[in-house]
Amino acid sequence: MKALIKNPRDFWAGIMFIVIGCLFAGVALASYKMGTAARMGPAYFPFVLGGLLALLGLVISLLSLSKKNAGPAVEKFHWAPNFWVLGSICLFGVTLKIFGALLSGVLLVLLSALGSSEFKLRDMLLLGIGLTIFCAAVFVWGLGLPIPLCPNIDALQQVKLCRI
Amino acid sequence: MELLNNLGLGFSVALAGTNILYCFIGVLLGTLIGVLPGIGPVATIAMLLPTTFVLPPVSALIMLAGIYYGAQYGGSTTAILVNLPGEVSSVVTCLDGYQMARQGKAGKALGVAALGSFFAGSVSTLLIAAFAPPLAEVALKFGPADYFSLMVLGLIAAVVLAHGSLIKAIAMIILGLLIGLVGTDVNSGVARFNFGLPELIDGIGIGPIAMGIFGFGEIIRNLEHTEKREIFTKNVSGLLPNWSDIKQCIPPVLRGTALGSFLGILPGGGAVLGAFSAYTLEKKIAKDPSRFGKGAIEGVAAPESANNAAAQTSFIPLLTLGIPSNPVMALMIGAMIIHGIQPGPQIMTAKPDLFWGMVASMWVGNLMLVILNLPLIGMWVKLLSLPYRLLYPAILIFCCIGVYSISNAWMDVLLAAACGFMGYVFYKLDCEPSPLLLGFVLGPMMEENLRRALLLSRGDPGVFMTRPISATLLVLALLLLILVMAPAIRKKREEAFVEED
Amino acid sequence: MKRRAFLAAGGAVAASLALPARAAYPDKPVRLIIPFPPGGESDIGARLQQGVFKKLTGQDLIIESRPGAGGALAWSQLNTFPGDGYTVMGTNLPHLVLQPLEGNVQYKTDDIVNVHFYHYTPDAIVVRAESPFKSAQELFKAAREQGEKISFAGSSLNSANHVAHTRLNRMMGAKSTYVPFKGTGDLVASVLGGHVSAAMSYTTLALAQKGKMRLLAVATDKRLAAFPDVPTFKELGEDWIDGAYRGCGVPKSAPEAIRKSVSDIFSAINRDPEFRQRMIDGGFELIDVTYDKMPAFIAERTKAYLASAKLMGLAK
Repeated sequence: MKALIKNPRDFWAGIMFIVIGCLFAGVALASYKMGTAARMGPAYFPFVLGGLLALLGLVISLLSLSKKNAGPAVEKFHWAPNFWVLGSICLFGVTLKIFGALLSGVLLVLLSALGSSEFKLRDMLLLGIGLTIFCAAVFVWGLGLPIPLCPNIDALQQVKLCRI
Repeated sequence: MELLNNLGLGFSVALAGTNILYCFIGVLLGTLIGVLPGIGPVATIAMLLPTTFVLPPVSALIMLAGIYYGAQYGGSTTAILVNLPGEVSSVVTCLDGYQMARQGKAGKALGVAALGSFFAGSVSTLLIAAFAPPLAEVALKFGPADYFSLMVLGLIAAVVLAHGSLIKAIAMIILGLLIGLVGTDVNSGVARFNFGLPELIDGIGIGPIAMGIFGFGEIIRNLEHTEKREIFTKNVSGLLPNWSDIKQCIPPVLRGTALGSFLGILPGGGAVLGAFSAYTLEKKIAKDPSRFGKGAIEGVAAPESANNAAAQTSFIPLLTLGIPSNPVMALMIGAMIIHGIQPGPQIMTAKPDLFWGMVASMWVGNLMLVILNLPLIGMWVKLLSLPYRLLYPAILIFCCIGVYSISNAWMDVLLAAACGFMGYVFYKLDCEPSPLLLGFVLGPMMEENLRRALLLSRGDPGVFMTRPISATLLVLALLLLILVMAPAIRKKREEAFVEED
Repeated sequence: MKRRAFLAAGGAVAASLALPARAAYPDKPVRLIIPFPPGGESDIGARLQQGVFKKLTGQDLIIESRPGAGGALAWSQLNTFPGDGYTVMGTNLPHLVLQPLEGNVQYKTDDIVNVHFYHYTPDAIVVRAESPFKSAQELFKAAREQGEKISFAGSSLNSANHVAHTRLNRMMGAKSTYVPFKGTGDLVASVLGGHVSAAMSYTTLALAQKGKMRLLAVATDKRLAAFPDVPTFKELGEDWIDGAYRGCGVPKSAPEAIRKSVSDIFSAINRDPEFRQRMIDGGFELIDVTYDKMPAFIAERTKAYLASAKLMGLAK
């Protein structure tokens, strides 16, 4: 297998395009009306594009088998930064309405910082608190954006600073 | 002569005490929200609208306009410093601007962006003053078929953006087109690919995509390297562009201004096309196109002037026809109505002080922006010398709040995270993401216009060739395609010959 | 020090914890959620109401825009808010009747408690100034003769414009084409450029484009003061008084007294002379469908929309 693929980056990119293309074309075909070229239904455009993408993916993958296109291997996939950075973003999104931006913001800074190799709890806690207050001042008190600040508890919602 | 009189009236309005103050507040706010990733001018103008009730209408509109073009200005700052495109049009600025920043030339990039934008803004303001009505007529000549052909030309130009494999760039454009299809189909009312989620009925916003793929993806890939090397070089060369930099940028700025001014007039998509067609043009006519994407100063100058020029000329359809060419302009129309001014073609004759006052204030505002931004460059460059472990959590929190605030949807934050993963995968597989973004923006407009054109022609695809504008654009697209393919084919043949030797 | 900065940032209004409850509603700011993007007719109407609301009640009306899915996103969330009268949401007809018929949305027409409808923008046929059609009759005749060749631009599918176009086709006895655009602002260029024959839109468009566009017919009871020469559909032989209706609703949990209070306040706003003038200048027709008249009004409108929906192929 390894010997066959001369350009692994292209090969896997091609596979990715084939999968995504088939997915779009398949869903379009299964769920929406096709129509005709003159009166296109909602499935027409996505089906054609999905098919085209899969086809291009196939070409890319096949070309990557040729010696002429030889290229470097796919670099090692680092899961740790992906996990900490994206995980902390997702957590922020989910908890924002419940905890409010003040708490979720500190959490976001703390957890995402774990993705770096040099993590210092005290620094990060200070940074998190500082950044969150700065954001609250700019976005909520300054620009008046409707972002929940405090935890979603009735007593706290009455405090004017927590609203806009 | 009449023009001079009108401009005189305009400047007397724009320079009047309170108006100049509100113009300043507007551009200052605009710069601020432009620099903060995610939060765009639409949200800000919508929030500030009620506070402008108490102002006289001219002051209110001058301030709102200032926020809009100020944001365009500020948007390039984050694009250059941290690879975060605040607006679609600054995606192109990321390509070379961010690379310049990494090479310690952030100051030069920011300086050229500011000066180029100022020049473009001045020229296009003059264009509005002198030729607004005839230019607006040109925009009206574009029918659905012509728009479709313009989008085709734009998409082919997008291929040039990538500096890698041609076929992968095309695949990325198609992927972008597909992602752009998520949401309600204008022509049938069917919600497509929303997987039952009501949040996706309106489609995926550009905010989560751009911020995820560019911003988050970049952060993750920087983190895996922190042990090995620093992200921004410590030896910063020259805080501001020197004379030779500026001389090098004069032709690109001129070309960018021309392209941006023209495309900005077209409602919908014009401003986006401006920035990257300017980049494409520079890359095509450059002696050494391989420099692009690796920190070419022309790659910052041209698109930055183009997007600023387009931001100004997009006021033409609004002021002369009452057509809102983007969501910000729609808000401006709302602001006018609330102030009891009926927007539309009659505004120029019925309210000359408003029309000319706004035009003059745009030039004044652009001047303020340069004066405001040049001294800030030093501060921005210093910011990059902060350790990355402190910098990236800060970028993350701004991005997250910014993404959320676009439509107050936590779903967008999750989408952005998913896009961040996608961006990382693309990087690992050598897939340039900027063509995807342009496909994403242009795709829905392309499909909409294609189907509208066919609906109007009752299914006859001949319209694309019989309408002169459309036919010209398609021929241009074909020529560009040949131009793009030619070097690749030649290279293949050369390689083949080399092997035979 | 930090504490002081905190308070300063909050501004002068930062002070209060909950005030002791007063008898009268409202005793704190009321939030009005508009399910459409800012700058649209719903938003403009609400912003004009804002000032009068403050004048009449002494409380702020905070406008929050929550656009999405043609309004459906906000409407499907309406009943999740507390029914204390401090969250009010803009409601629109025919959207509330037509969207559930399509089946894509997560609410039903009956889920929405409308308390007041305050204005509507009347349906109107508009052509560009250079158009060969000088009167509605000429346009109708051309539509009968040329069928699909005559095209009408309108804002989105299954919308008030679409309903109106269906009705127009039936009235003309013709098969003209409906060309959907993303919004009214979007279709202006196509009408002015002559890429479509006409627009099935609202009187607001004709007002905004006075001089560049010509109004051919309006769906009002009497001719409009701004266009005394333009006939109503009634005069053209069709009993057609319709358009996009705007009003407000509250969560289902709101008690009768609150529903009535909200209705009374908006009814009073509609009586303010300065507000009336501004709305009429903007092309809005003021109506006063109060809470007690609501069931009859909704029933009557629903019947009319269902008839059109049948022709559009939406309902069986």
